Amino acid sequence: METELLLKRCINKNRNAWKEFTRLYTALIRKSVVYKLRNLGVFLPKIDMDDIVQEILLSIWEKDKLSRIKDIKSLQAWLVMISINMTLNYCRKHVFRHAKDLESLDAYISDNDEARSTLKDFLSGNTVPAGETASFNELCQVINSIISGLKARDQLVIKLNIYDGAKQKDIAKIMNLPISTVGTVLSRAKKELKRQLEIKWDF
Amino acid sequence: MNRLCPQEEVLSAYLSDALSPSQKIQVEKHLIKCRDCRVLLLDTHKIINTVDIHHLFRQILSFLKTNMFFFISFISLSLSFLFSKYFLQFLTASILFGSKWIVDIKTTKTLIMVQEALKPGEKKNPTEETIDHRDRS
Repeated sequence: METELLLKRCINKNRNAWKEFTRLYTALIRKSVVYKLRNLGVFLPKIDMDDIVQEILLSIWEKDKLSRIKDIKSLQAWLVMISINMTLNYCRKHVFRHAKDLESLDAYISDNDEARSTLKDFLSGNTVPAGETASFNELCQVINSIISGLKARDQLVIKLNIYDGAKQKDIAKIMNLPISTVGTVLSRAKKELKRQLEIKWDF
Repeated sequence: MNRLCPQEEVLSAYLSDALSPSQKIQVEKHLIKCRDCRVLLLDTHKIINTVDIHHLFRQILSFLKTNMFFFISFISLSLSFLFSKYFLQFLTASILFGSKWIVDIKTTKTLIMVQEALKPGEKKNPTEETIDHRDRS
């Protein structure tokens, strides 16, 4: 209830409420920025990180972004997502300045299920060998064709687990499903995948 | 994230289970195709559910900093019992640091301000003073 009131006051441009909001959530924003930068393999001085945090807070205040939040429960998740995306934008603008780097970054973070090397490896030039990528892509195509026949929920569970390496308990929390359901979906799907791959590729 | 991706507010609502069943299915259909959004969801989940050790450390440090004089006073008091030869010296130090802590804490400052405000008859309202002056003249 208190957070809801605080949000309402922030939306109405109350400066004291905004001060309280920044006091409460700056740590979370900073944590998200640090996490994403580490994830990207970018090491920035503290002053630049402070810049990103300030930029995020300023954009929330000036563009009145708080009014877009659908549910008060999702405030923290929303702040983290905004911070991650803005950190990514900052890196595009200031860290990966050269057009070539920018293209590589965009290619990497595009809708590509087959991308499996980490961004850190990618940026340091350790790309996956061409032949290996081709066979990996082929395998992905086969897996995709097999799982595309499943229910949307089951497909997402499998993709989160196989492609993104998420653990069962994390998938259960993200999708708000019981952990037993996730386990059942995964074991059933993996058995089916194994059976189909054995037929197609003679594994 | 590209233009077709759902906005952060939709994805965060999905993570908090605040979407309607139909919206949820729509988001799930998108997530199947979009790796960026799946990674964003996973990152968000990880960030929210991990304890920030640095932040915790900073909080403990700031707590110690604000109550520094209390801890010094406590240590001095303990030392006064350990080294009975310097009992009085350590006890004096303990009292001094203890007093400094009491004066510094917010509650005391507020109490002093309240007490000063409630003191009767020390300061007169400036408007009253001018009225008195006129009456005398």
